[in-house]
Amino acid sequence: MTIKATGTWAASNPNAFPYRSTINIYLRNLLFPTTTTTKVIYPIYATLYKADAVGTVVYRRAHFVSANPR
Amino acid sequence: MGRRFIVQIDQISNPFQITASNISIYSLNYNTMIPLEAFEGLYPIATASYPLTMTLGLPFNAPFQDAMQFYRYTECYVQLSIVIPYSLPEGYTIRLVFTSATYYVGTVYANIHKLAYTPVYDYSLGTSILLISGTGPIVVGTTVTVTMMIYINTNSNFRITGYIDTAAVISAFSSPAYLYEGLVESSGVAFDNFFSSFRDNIFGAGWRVQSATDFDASQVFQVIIYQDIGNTATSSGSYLKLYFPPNVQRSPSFNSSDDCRFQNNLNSCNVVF
Repeated sequence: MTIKATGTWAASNPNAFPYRSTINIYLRNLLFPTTTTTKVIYPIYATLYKADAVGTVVYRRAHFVSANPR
Repeated sequence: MGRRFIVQIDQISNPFQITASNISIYSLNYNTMIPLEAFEGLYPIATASYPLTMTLGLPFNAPFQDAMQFYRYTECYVQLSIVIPYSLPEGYTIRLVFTSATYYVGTVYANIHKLAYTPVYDYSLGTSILLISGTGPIVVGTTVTVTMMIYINTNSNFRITGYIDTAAVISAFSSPAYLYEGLVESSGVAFDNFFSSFRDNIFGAGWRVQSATDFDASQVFQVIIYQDIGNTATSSGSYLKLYFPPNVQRSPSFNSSDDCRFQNNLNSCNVVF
């Protein structure tokens, strides 16, 4: 899933991920399935791209969330 | 006198234990039990360890590419695959020893495809040793996958050494060899500090998400980014890629301008899958 700012958003926020600012990305209509008995761990990997650099400058990170049985 | 015999012994049964002995050879006339020659205990024989084929990968068999990597000096989920080279009877224990890495207690899950058995995990905190028992018999060729969260504490390779033997032998761990032995090494890459946390509107920022069996429009999965790399690390046009496991689904009606929002603003995101 590649997330970029729209032209409207970028007009007032040219750098979508400024230094030391908390940026919240809200996602809906995603489904994290699990069973009725088993906790499922979902690794989520993220790459942040710097757009104005010569060549590709990327930053990488991983985190994990769990979906517990309901 | 002067004649040479070759004795071939085959169909030897696997003893399922490491042991050693000596073979004695006697020559005698066909009609007597009195040896003409005796070579008692001169020929040593021993069982050797079977090599375990062990590989390390990412959970859900994700490929190593882009951000999908092992990371050092942070929590990191790995999937250890162990191919069982010879059938194991019930009552054997898997011992995993971590070098330059530690595991997190309570994060280990061994998939042995035996519904009638529940593996027992014996965590030896501080020793980086993990015992897995209660697996039941395991047939030849089975791939046991052990998924766990680890912490890689080296800039070079970390190692996981695996041993399988009887519970008693593994517990004592004083044998010079074990029935099955193998090791695997890998390394982690450095992570970058821009990924703060997740928040689910059901659980809050607890690294938990609402589990569901169908899409729920009221569920909000919030990705919180705090770019703490540097003031020139990002720029105009910077963007983000997220990689979810294949079983995370998106609704066929996913609407980029509504279902993805910067700071909860409509029409702020362009999403490409």
